[in-house]
Amino acid sequence: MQVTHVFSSTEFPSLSFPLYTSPVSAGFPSPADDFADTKLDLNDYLVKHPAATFFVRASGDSMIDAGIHSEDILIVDRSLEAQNGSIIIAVLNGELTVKRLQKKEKRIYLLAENTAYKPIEVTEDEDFLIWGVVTSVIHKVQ
Amino acid sequence: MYGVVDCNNFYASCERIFQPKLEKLPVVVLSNNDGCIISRSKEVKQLGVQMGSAAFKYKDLFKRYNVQVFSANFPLYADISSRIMKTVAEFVPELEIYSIDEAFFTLNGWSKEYIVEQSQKLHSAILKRIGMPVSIGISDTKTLSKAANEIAKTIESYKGVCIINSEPQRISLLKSLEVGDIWGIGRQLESRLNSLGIYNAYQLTCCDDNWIQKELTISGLKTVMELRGTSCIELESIHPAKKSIISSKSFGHKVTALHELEESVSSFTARAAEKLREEHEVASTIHVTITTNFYRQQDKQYYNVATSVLPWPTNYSPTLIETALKGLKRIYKPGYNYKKAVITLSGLVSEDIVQGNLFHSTDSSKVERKLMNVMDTLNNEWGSGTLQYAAEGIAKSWRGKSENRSQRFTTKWGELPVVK
Repeated sequence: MQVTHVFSSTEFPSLSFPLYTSPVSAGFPSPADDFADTKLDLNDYLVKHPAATFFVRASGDSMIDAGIHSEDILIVDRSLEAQNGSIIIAVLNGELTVKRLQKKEKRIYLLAENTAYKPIEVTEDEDFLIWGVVTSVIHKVQ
Repeated sequence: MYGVVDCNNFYASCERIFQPKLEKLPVVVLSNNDGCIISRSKEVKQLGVQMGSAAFKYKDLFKRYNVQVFSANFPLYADISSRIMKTVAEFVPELEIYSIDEAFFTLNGWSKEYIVEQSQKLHSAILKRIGMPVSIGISDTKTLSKAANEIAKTIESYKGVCIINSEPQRISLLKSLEVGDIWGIGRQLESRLNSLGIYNAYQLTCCDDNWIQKELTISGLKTVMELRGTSCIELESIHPAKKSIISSKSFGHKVTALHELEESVSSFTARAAEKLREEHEVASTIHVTITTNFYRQQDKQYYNVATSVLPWPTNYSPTLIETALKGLKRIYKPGYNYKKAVITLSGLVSEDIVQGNLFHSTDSSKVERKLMNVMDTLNNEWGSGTLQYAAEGIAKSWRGKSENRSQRFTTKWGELPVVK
């Protein structure tokens, strides 16, 4: 993406545009348009199940190739079912860990996203639980 | 049909949510000032540790059995409580928050099969989404659902859900229920009833109504009628056990603006505080609930509750109102047709027993008297060596000793759980 034009702030007076909550259609106006003036709230964008959503902080670089850096905040939804390939928070031997879930035949593997880390096979006798599914990563660039 | 859901060993279980290595260890939670035990995991109960007793009485036992001791983390517990109530609200049409970890709900018009299905789903949902094990009791009346809940909690084969909806089941349940364990009866009446040969709930239901009303008041009669299967205590009505006070109103018109909710919340809180003072009680927790009309599914639905544990139990209106309004601000969202606001004051204790923060009394002579009583008792019971420890402990509590409080995992950015 290219930066094509840079405007100074005086050229753009502030204008609020109402956000329409329903697509404009050719029929009767929707009563829901009473609520046209909705402010953009990151909670609505990032948190689909507030009661089941928790924030955790990443530590280390085991998932760096998935875009998860140390100190990033991960948004974890515990109501979702983890699929093969989901990035999950798991409990392994009493510790919370973030890894990519791999289900191969009847076996379960926890994969890091960093070539320096080997995949972990979760065996039946191990203390393992899928704690939640990571839906977003918040990475601050500044 | 009514149901009641409550959490198993709530505070101790909260500690396990973000510290999974605690799952297999005995856990105990102490009150403010690390004074007394306010929650025990199953393992700790099995060691014979008594609820409400002084923590340092068990200092050696805790060390011997590697009991993990935590100071109360009320911001965490209050947040987990809200999440649980919100989850319950996704499954049932109406609920009543009864305490920080307990709620009643209705299931009117549901078929037997649907009740079984939904209650099991609710149990699983709370365990999966929040990591909290709960017990659910369902029956025709609130009193019976409380009894069913006890069964769900104590008998493992029920897997956390017990539904009593047939006569033989009801009678069998009542025969196994001691009078002292009946919701609304309690230990004080137990000895009197026992002396008359009434030991279980079934025997009580066989007594004459007039006699019951005379001995146990009209409230006791309602309890007995409920045990017999006739519902007379509805959601949000006055409870025989009086563990919480509710003030609420359904709005006759569409309420969407914050200021209107603020006015209602202020007046409901003031009203609830008045009731508290009439009873000479103080509350430790306040819950503010706002909800849309569940029965108008064409409206965007919203249910939220702000739970706040007060720094010390109080019935002082300005404090309660201020806390309630702060809670409301946290949960209010524009763009919804609110139908109802509810204020629940729970964790009620008598005005005389100010648990936890002894030093918040405005009457300093009262504080001194209480302090001297405590020191004397400890001195007598455990010898003069203990006096020093006790004094040190109480002095520390003035600065709010919370030596082993876990992180506020869900309410402080700097205290989030860390994953590797």
